[in-house]
Amino acid sequence: MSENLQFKVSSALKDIIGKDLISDDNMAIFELVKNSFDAHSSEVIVRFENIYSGSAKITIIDNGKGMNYDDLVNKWLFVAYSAKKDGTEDDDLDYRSNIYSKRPFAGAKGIGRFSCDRLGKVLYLETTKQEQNPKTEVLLTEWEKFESDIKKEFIDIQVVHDTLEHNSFHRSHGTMLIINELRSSWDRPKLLRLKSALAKLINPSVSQDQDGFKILLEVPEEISNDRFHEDQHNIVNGEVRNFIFEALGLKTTRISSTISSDGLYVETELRDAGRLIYRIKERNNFKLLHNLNFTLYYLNMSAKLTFTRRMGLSSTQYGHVFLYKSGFRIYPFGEPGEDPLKVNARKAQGYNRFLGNRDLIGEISIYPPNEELKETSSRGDGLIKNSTYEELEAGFWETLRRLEKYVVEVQQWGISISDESNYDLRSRASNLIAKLTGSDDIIEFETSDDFLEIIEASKANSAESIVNNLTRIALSSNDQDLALQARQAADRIKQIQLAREEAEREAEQERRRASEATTKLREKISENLFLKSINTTDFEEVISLLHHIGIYAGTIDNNLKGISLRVQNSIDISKEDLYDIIRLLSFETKKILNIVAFATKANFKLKTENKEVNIADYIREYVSNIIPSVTDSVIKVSFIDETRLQHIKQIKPIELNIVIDNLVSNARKVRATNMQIIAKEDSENQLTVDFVDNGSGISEENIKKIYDFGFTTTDGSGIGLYHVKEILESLTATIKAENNANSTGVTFTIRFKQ
Amino acid sequence: MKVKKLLWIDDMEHWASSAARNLEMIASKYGVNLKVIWAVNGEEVLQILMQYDFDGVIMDFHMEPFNGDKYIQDIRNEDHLQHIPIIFYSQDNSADLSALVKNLRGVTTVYRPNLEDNIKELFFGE
Repeated sequence: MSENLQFKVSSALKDIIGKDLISDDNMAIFELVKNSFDAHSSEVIVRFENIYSGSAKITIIDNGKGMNYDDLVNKWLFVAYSAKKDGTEDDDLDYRSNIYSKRPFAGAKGIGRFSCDRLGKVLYLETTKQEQNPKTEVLLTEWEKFESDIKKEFIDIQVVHDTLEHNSFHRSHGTMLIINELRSSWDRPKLLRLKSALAKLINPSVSQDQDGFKILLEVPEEISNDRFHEDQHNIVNGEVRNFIFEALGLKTTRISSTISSDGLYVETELRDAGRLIYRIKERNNFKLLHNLNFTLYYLNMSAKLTFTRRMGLSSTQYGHVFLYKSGFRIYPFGEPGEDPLKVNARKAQGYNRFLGNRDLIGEISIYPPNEELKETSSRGDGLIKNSTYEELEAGFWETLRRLEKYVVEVQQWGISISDESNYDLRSRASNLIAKLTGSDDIIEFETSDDFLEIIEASKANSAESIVNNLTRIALSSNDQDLALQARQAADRIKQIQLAREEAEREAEQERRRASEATTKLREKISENLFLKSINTTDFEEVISLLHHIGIYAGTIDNNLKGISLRVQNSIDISKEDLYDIIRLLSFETKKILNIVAFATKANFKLKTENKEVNIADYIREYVSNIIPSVTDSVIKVSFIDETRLQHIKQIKPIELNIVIDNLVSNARKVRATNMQIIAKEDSENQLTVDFVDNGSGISEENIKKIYDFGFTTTDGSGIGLYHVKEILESLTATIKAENNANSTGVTFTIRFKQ
Repeated sequence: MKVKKLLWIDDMEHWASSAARNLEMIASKYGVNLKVIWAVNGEEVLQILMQYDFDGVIMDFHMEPFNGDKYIQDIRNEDHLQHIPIIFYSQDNSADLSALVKNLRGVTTVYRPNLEDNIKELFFGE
């Protein structure tokens, strides 16, 4: 024989849906505030009293629609029943009441009222329904009664009820909850955290005035402390407002993507520093999503600083991408340290290509009905993971990737289009629009009024492809305005191209003029490298010169000592060894002599042997400043610079000086009275320097021997040109001598390889 | 004949090579076969020190791109080179070399003209 049995419910159920389910105190307050919102209150007061005196209590008063006796029995005392869920919650409301007509419900589980248990052991409730001749119903619930014996059935625990003529919270309708014997203590820091958390509870993009819902926090014992603070985030008492996106203002890059309530279209708008970059309408490929919005802000350094200054904490401490369902926040989305959308996990795979939570702030707003997107019963675990939720995540990523594309490819991390002078950025923005408008899903496209300005900066190819794409979109959507805009853009691009060609011609002329001016300026500046005044050698330079003299003299001393040691130790010195030593001694002596010439004339840095110089500049300076002081007036040396390019080389200045000295000295020995040094580029743009003298020249049979050690046709040592060739080879340069074709004298041509 | 191997770092090649040749001749009088390996800056010093065993390091102060004290610090940071003798010298007698290496053990600081005597004392046992 079969029979039907019933479940019995233990009084321990209270803990499961009350203090165990609601994971923290702030969450419990949220649930109660949500109830006030759902009761169509325009205002809810959350008041903490006696928090420092041991008899603390929390009072929550709203001016919502209230409850009568039937509501109490059939709704409030009916566990897990939600009239919001079955759609009968507002059946008794006057349909003409505008304020109630469109508000979505924030909670729909039928358990929010058990949050009171989390906060305190005793709940006193007064409620007055908005109806004719209302009564005030009173309930007194002592939660500990449910805890005394878990074998007792839930329904057997008594809740004290009374009916009064008037309420004690002085409102014509609404509900007051007084929670006594609080389970945890409250102090100023905790209250400030509550206020901040309550602020985040409210979707900032829903205008609070428009929606007619206000949360007021009242803590009389903190009023005096509040007077010491000016920033809202440091004041406990007052209206709770989520003004975060107001604080960010227009200084960031913002993308907003809205899926229409019928789920057919997605409209996406991207703005940079307030300026519209694009707005597109396209077919919605997320078939399960409708009536929701993704809004994301990229936080560049400036936005982060603004945030910290205005909010009193950094953006990373505040949170990142929040999720609001029906205007109220769903945890843990946006919570610092939480990453339910795996944004940071992806960032770790491509640090420089992806945005992370620390670069983002924003919201996902889900509007009713969207019943498939349900909060989990365990508060703080987000939404139930079903296929609609998977599409929600995919929609979020699509929006984020579009923001990333702009931030990474166009802004290149941080440069804003508001920087009017940034030509490259505008060009990149234009390329982005070209790619974006190439999609077949786009139905409508709109960009800013200064769209033409943006594409003006683009390369011709992307500008033309934008125009082509716009024309295609305009034709398929029969959008006359867009078609007109595309035609105007095409005309304008032609004008721009002509203007650009003209501008480039002018720029080339300017460039030539600037080049000439630079050459003159270079000559002027170069006079400063070698100062003509004898008074310019400062202590540091003198030390440097002495340092080098010491080393060169030390080298000579070492070599002389080497000869002496060989003699003392009966070690033979070959002729070649001796020549090597003589060459070295001569070279080092010449360096010292050159430094002596420098010592009073040069403001030249000799702290190191090597120096990077423009060769032509260096020779000009040396010729004009040093040569006159080390050669007699019999020979006139001049320098002509015909170079167009800079020829920067690492040289040892003293060695290049020795090259010039030797070539001038050589000319002097063959009775030249004039030497022209001409710097220019050859056909391969390599630097050549001609030393052209008007002396007696070199006989053809000797012209190949002149670099041999000891070879001379004068009274010279026969070492000078040998050193010249050695030095130039170390500079990867070559030297060639040729008698002048049309006049007396010889030309030494030095060619510096790149 | 004992063999002594020195790693010598100086960007003034002519000076350093002539000084080394003289030292080689002097060393042979003391029964020492002196071998000198050259480097014109300190950039490859650690690599060279990894490849060969040396009896000491002779390090100039003024060099490019870094002065010698930087390379001495690098050498001392290597576990197996913490005790190799180092002579640190400069032509600039106003430079306080000892202050630059005051926290490092086993570094002798020398004015360049006195370098030869110091090398003799340290490595030829004079």
